[in-house]
This record gives sequence, structure tokens and C-alpha cells, in this order.
Amino acid sequence: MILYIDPGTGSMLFTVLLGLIGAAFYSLRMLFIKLRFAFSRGKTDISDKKIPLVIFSDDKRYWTIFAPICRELDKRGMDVVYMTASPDDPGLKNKFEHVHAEFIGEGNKAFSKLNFLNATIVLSTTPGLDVYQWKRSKNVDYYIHIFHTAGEVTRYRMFGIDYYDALMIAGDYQQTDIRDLEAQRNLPAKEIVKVGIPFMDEMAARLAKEGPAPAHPRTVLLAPTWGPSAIFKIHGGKIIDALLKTGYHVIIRPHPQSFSSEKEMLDKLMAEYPESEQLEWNRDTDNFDVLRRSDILISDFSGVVFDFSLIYDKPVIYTDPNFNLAPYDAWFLDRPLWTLSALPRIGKELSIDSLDNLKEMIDSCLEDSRYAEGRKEVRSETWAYPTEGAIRSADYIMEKYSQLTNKETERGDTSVTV
Amino acid sequence: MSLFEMLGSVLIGPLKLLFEVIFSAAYKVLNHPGLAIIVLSLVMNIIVLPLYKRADAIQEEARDTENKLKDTVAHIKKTFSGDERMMILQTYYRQNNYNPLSVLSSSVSLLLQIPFFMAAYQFLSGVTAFEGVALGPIADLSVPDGLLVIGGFSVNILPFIMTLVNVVSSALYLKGFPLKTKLQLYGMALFFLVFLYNSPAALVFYWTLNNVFSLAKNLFMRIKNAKRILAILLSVAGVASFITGILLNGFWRSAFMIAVGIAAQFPVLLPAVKKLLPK
Repeated sequence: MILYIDPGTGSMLFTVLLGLIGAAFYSLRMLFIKLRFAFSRGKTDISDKKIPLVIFSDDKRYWTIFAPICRELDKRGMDVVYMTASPDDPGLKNKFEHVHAEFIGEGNKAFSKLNFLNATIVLSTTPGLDVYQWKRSKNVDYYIHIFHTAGEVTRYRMFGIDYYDALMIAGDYQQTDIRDLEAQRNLPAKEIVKVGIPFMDEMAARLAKEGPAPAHPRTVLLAPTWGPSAIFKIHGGKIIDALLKTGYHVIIRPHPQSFSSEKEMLDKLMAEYPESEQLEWNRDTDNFDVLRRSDILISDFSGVVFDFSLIYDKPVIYTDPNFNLAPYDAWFLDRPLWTLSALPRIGKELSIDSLDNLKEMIDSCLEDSRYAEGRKEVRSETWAYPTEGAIRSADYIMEKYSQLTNKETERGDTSVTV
Repeated sequence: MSLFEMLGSVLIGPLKLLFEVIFSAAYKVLNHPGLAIIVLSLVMNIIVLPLYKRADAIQEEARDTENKLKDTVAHIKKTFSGDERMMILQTYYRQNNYNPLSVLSSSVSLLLQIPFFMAAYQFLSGVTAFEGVALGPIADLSVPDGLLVIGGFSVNILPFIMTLVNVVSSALYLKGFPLKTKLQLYGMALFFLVFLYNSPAALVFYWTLNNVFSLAKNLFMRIKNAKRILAILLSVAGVASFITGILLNGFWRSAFMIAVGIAAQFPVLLPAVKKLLPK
């Protein structure tokens, strides 16, 4: 038996063989993913011209995040290229002199263009940089992330912000979370800049300008998030039944993501509970009006809870926060979410058992003054520098740009890496 | 000649020659081919020991990292699916400097050992000196031992001894490993028992010695102060060799045994010498 070897070596060879098989499967799968990406992307040209600032938006609903910053940068004469993966992004029709907008294709087509981008700074609100198909480009000097909801930054899917260079935040507790994750993962420290929340500043300014909604019957807005922990997944139509029973005017506004990820479930609910005088289903891209004419919001872990509570200064009812942290960065931190400490200060918790008392709960929330105090407190913790968000963001971006381009000039380095 | 044969003769050929030299020298000194097998096995295992140790170190490191990561890896596999799962997993591996392909680096050291084993076997298979030679209770080393006779059937005992040592050695090595790995190795031991059952006793004896060496390796890896104990044992064996050399007839035989006896004292004396040297 020519290959007989001693047991120790034999077992090690076996381990190697098994390891090889496992590794081969892993590598094959990764290869398939890369191939699929290669086939689904468009042409990728590497431009010689370095764009000063690219803003990337993966969905049209984020134009409200970038618009105030664009306006501020435009005022200062900074050239911006706004790249969007939504063909009907309102940003494509922007009237700013220095903001040039382009639709760069959807999904992998957009990412493949971004992966070879030649720019000094890329600003985005999309998580998952260098985790999924969107990779850091060799010819981009700096990636800055801005968040699109108030609340903790750890509710992105794992590693979502790890490979950005800088994060623009609005609360000290957010910084603590970021640093703790970096320490745990042995990642270099990112630059953290407290700027505030530009989009909330805009909404507040708009509300101040347009004033409150005209008189209307008491209106309840149901605006849940999407995913396995969301209201409809857990309670189905029971909550709609309870709402209709209250006799109040009901507006249901599902999360935009639901319409793609949970279409079947929504279609079923919309058929079961059709529109009527009492019930509205709302899909406006701009949620300003619907938030303004509602008196109270019922939601789960959707970011709209803070929009409604902190900007429109109205109470909320939130459902059992049995939030499953499994896919999120928060899972790694093993401590309660900041949102869990904030919610009881700005509203009441609704459990499935108390659905029968919904009307009483709504009434009591609207009449109790303690939530106003709570809102003030929560506002100060999570919304730094109100009204200054866009200015501070623009300040930081321009300072960073100047820093980066001066470095390049010093080095005499304007080459493109291929 | 096919490529395989060419490769064989380039790699194995020189090694076979080396083993022939070792075997012949040992045969001359000890005057018994069976005892020369012991020397051959010892020398061969000592040669490949560094390769074995390197491969083991690499695999242990990989195992430790895998152990550290396994809870989160399990969580990721449970939580995500499809492409997302692969990419999240890859990111987690990347952050922990782990590559599933890293196990390959240990394979180089392991694969390098194979020519040695193959050469030793090929060499021994060709030795005619075993014909009719007895070793202890084994009547003829060039045929299966047939030591146990039940009814009209003769049963070869040596393969069973070889397998027993194999199993004990594996059990020691696999302490703390998952059951699956243990079963795979025991399965291999059984496989070899069946396939090698009818091999000549000299070869089975040779493999049994390899297994004994492997067992000793694993024993020492589990014991603290293994180096120290090994040095002491070697020293004791060296003293025995020294005494034997003085009592033996024949100049070369004596000289060889005395030289071995003196050389065997080095491992135990070296630490003491180091202490005495100026820093």
C-alpha cells in the first residue's frame, strides 16, 4: 500500500482534504456571485477627470436627505455630481446651478460604475459599502456617510458602516456605539462629525412656513416599518380592525420598502381593507402632508416615529418593541437600544392584548402633557444643532475636500489608479 | 516513461537510496534485518518530524481561529441567506484575518512527507534479505505472520497490533475533536487493517513501528515538559547504547554504539551548557 502513512499525518491530510472541499465550495460560491455581478453590470469607463464630490443615492426617497446639503453647497459654488439609482429620482430635476444629476442605472449597473469612480469625496446614506456589490473605488479618496433616520446607527445590517471613512452624526450616544464596534472589530477609527439632521431641519422649517393642518376630525396614522419584526408581519390585519373600530379617520402608510419586499402581504391587506371614507392607504413619496394632518402616529420601529414626534411635536403609540436584532450591528453590542429608552418618554406602548382599548389609549396620549417634556429631552439627545444641519454638513464636506486636495497638490499626485 | 513514473524516479529514487544506505548500515551493525527495520523507521520518522510539526502548528492555529469565530459564524448562517449570507460571512472572515483556504498552507508540509513514506515502503518491498528470517515469534518476515491458528485457519496478529496502536494513537491525537473527525480516523484505521492484512510481516512490522512513533509523538505533545522528558529518555537510551558498545565485539560495531551513546547525551546536557556560557 504505497500511500500508507502514520495516523497523525493521515488525520492531518484528512483535515486538509475536508478543508479543501469546504474551501472549494466557498470559493465557487463567491466566484458565482462575482460572475453574476460581472454579467449584470454595464460598461465601466474610468474617467481621467476627478469629480470633487459625488453624492450617491440608491433610492429616490433619499433626495430629501441630500437636497438641503446640495442647496448649501450650491450656494458656496461647490461642484456636485448627484448619482442616483432611481430613474424617477426628484433630484434629477433639481434646479441647482452646481449640482449635476445623473441616473446611473439600477442595482449592479449602478454599483459597477461606483466601483470605478474617480472622485475626491463620495457622500451617501447607503449602508453596506465594501460588504456587498458596492466596493470602495481605488480612485475615490474619502467616503462619508450620513444617516437617514434619527435614532441609533446600529440598526443597519451588519458591517453596514464599517468601511466608510467618516460618519456625520447627530447624538453622542451614536458615537459611543460606533467606537465600541470599531474596538470589537479591530477597525481603524473613523472620523465622526456631529452635524445634526439636515432633513429634519428642512421638515421643521417647512412646517413652520406652511403652518399646521386645517381643522380636521381626529386622525390616526398607522405607519409601520418592514421586515419580520414589523406590525403587519406580527399582527396582520387585527390592528386595522381595531383602528376602524375607534371611529377615527385612519391613514395607513406602509414603508416604501414593503412595496418591493412584501408586495404579496400588502396586496392582500389592501384587498381585505379597501379604501373608504374612513380609511386611506397612502403612498406619497413626500410624507409631509400625511404627517401634518395626523394627530397621532402608531408605528413600530420605523424611523418615522422620530420624524413625527420630534418635528411635528405630537404623541406616538408604539407596538411591542420585540425587535429582533439578529441581522443588525446592534446584535454585537449586547446592550439595550437607545430607541427603547426614548420611546416610553414620547408615547405609549400598545400590545396585542390592549388592542381593544385602543381608542382610550389614543385619547389619553393626546391629552397627557408629560410626553411634551419627554420629546424635548429626546430631541436634545438625538437631534444636535437643530436648523444648522445642512450648514454644518456643508462646512465639513468643504473642509474635508480642501484638506484632501491640498494633500494631493503637495504630493504632486493626480494620477489615476487602475 | 510516463510523467508520473518520471516524477516518481526523480523524487523517490534518491530517497530510496538514502533508506538503502541507512538500512544497510543498521543491518551491518545490528546483524539482523528485523532490527534494521526499527532503525529505518526511527530515522525516517525523525526526518519528517519537522514537516509534521509545522503542519500541525498551522492546523492548530486554524482550528483555534475557527473556534473563536464559530458562534458568530453560526449566527450569520442562521440569520442570512443566499448571496447576502456569503458576503456578510466574507466580511466577518476578513475582519478576523481568516481565510477558509488557509488550511491549504498546512497541506504543503503534509504532502512533502509522502515521498518519504513511499520511498521507505518501496525500498522495503524490494528487500530480499527478509526471506526465511525470523523476528521473535514471527517465523518468516517475508510472508504474513500467521501467528494464531484457530481450527484450520491461520490469523495474522501483527496487523491487529498495528491497528490497535493506530487507534490508541488516533484517540490521543483527537482528544477534544468533534465526533465526526474521530469516526473518520477510526474508519481509516479499519480500512488499513483490511487492506494490509495480507502484507509481508516485515512491512506490517515497519508500519507498526511508524504507529508506535506516532503514538509517542502524540503522547509527548500532551505531556508538559515533553522536551525535557524526551531528552532524559534519550540520555538513558544513550547510556545503554554506550554500555553495549563497550561490551560488544567488533571494532566498528562498538564504535558506532559508543558514538550513538555519546551523541544521545547532547539534548540533556545542552540546557546546562547554555546556562554556563557567558551572556
